[in-house]
Amino acid sequence: MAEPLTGESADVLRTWLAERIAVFVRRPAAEIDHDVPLGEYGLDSIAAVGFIAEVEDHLDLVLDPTVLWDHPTVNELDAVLRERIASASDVDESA
Amino acid sequence: MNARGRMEKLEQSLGDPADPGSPLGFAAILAADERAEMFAEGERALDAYGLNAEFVPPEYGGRLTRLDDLAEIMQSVYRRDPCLGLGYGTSSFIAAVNVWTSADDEHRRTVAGLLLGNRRVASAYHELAHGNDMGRTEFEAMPGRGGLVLNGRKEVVTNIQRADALVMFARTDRRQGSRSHSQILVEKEGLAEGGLRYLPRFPSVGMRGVQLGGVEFRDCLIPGDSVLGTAGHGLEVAMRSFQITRTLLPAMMVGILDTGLRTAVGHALSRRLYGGVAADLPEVRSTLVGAFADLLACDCFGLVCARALHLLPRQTSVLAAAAKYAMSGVMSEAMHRLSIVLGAQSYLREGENGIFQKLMRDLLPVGFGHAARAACQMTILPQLPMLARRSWSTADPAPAGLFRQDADLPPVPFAQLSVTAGGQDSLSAGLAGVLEATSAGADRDERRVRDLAGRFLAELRELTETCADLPPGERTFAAGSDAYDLASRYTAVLMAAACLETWRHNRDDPFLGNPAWLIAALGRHAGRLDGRTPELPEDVEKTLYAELLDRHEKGVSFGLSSRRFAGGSR
Ligand SMILES: Cc1cc2nc3c(=O)[nH]c(=O)nc-3n(C[C@H](O)[C@H](O)[C@H](O)COP(=O)(O)OP(=O)(O)OC[C@H]3O[C@@H](n4cnc5c(N)ncnc54)[C@H](O)[C@@H]3O)c2cc1C
Repeated sequence: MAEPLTGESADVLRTWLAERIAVFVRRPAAEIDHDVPLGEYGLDSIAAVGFIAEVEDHLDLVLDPTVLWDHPTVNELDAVLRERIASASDVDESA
Repeated sequence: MNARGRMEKLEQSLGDPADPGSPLGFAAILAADERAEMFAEGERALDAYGLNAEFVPPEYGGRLTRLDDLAEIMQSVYRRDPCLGLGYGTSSFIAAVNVWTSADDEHRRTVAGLLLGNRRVASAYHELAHGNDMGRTEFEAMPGRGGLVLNGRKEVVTNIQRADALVMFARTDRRQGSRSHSQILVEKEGLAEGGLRYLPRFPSVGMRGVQLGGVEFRDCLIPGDSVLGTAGHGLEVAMRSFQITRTLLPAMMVGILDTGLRTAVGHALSRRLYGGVAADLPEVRSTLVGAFADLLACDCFGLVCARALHLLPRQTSVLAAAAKYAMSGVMSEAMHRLSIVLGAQSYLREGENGIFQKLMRDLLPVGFGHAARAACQMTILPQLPMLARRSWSTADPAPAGLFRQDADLPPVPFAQLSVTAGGQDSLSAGLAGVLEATSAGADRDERRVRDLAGRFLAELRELTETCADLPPGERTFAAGSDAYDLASRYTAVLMAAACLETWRHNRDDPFLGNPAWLIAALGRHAGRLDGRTPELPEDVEKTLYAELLDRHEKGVSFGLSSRRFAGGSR
């Protein structure tokens, strides 16, 4: 599992997401506005499949690529992923 | 009536197509094709049989219980007239599958009612401006005037004019993104006058009888509750429901190759050349046996993928794309080689072999219709790294039921079909299973099977290494042709695994249990992968040639199930 994603390292996930997206759409990460739908940078449904797979591996979560369709910006994705991480660790602890 | 009974009944009601006196035979089918009309007698016969009920799940009054059976039933239609296959059958089936996948109970009842009343429902996705690029669809259904207002065009769509209802892929949100489209159900009865205009028909090279049309809507109001399922989920519904139709269409079209091969065998046996018949020439025999082996491989892959939709619905985003890609390639090539056996006869539009040229034209859309082959590769490509890392060396083999015609299958799990396979592939895991189940010290045929399994397993290992770290840029539309090639090599591995596992799980079957068919099918398949002309062992070719002649003589299908067709050969 990746580093804890709360508190001071809260931006770690967001930064990582933007960096990976930048690789998929072949642009510098700095150009990725965290509130702009990623489709506008050319992250289409095909690229989304590969990108979400990387997110799954990085965070050790099971995700459907449609998570990106429902949460199409870095900030929205960041928020929903944190929720998923939190509920996944609840399950781990109760198990 | 069980499915075998229905297949028999459909065959009997359509009769022997090669009988020159049959009102439902090739002569009449060709005449309708010459006029670029649907074959009216054939449509009446299918009405009488109630073919549409095969597309409707039992809870809505139909007979859609197993997709492998549906593929075989439709082979009986496609082997006679692919225009009936598409223009009577699969156009409505594609629309219906969208409805079963996403719609609420009321919409399902409406569409089931239309189909069971022998009506047609067209599936209108395509716009000339966008081709396979569905996400750019412009035709829109926007809220307004107390309902939905339709604007825009659909073009080159089967039955758009004569259908009673349309399932249309429409933009329902002007924003970019993947939640901006929906399927809508448009019933023509009660539509406002003047809201819709039909475009002239699109004449075509093949499927000439199929009425390819277009429509333009202008500010046409339809009821607000016309969206199928959740608004905005159209792209997802398409990606999920098309897994069924992209698997089934090529599996049904195996019937075309069956008649192509039947025609070529008939010709080669009767054509006198050099003091014998054409079939005496070893080269001609090899071509016929090769096409037979290719047909068996396609039928096998198609039926396995059809059962996978029941048993492994989370994996079929990959399998459906692989089925469409691999089967369309192999079948088109096989048909081309058969045309060489027929020579000039493959070019004549009338007479005993006249059906061949029509079938050859009608087969072509298997490659580009309902998703281009390249689009199928593109579905697989971004999933390769996940598959490599999560499955290829570790997955458990698929359940035995995937490979047996007598397996119990659960109802089609429409709701479980997923946008991606999540890196899961239990079909290719069967390669290692076959290696374990065979021994190097066994008889010659088993050693051959083992070698072939080893060849495809080595291919999978190579793919695993290359794909595990495929760079992001090679997993998007920007990918180079080497990356597309990886996807097609993987489809070859999946097809081989389907054949090997089918043999392994049917060793009690007199035909399937004898490895001759498998050695021929995979020998050819390995040859294609290695880019050389495959030569089959002499004894294998001899066994298959005898089987081919026997089936031809008795009028038995060339596919896996060896079922009896109506009439028998000429
Ligand atoms: C007989 C017939 C019946 C039809 N019936 C219907 C119907 O009932 N309903 C309906 O909606 N439509 C129907 N169509 C339209 C059909 O769906 C389209 O023709 C089909 O979607 C493909 O579009 P296109 O051939 O214009 O391909 P395009 O998308 O324009 O492709 C052009 C080229 O780009 C390549 N390409 C496409 N995508 C990719 C990719 N991802 N990666 C790499 N290369 C790519 C292709 O290989 C091709 O070489 C029918 C067509 C025919 C011929």
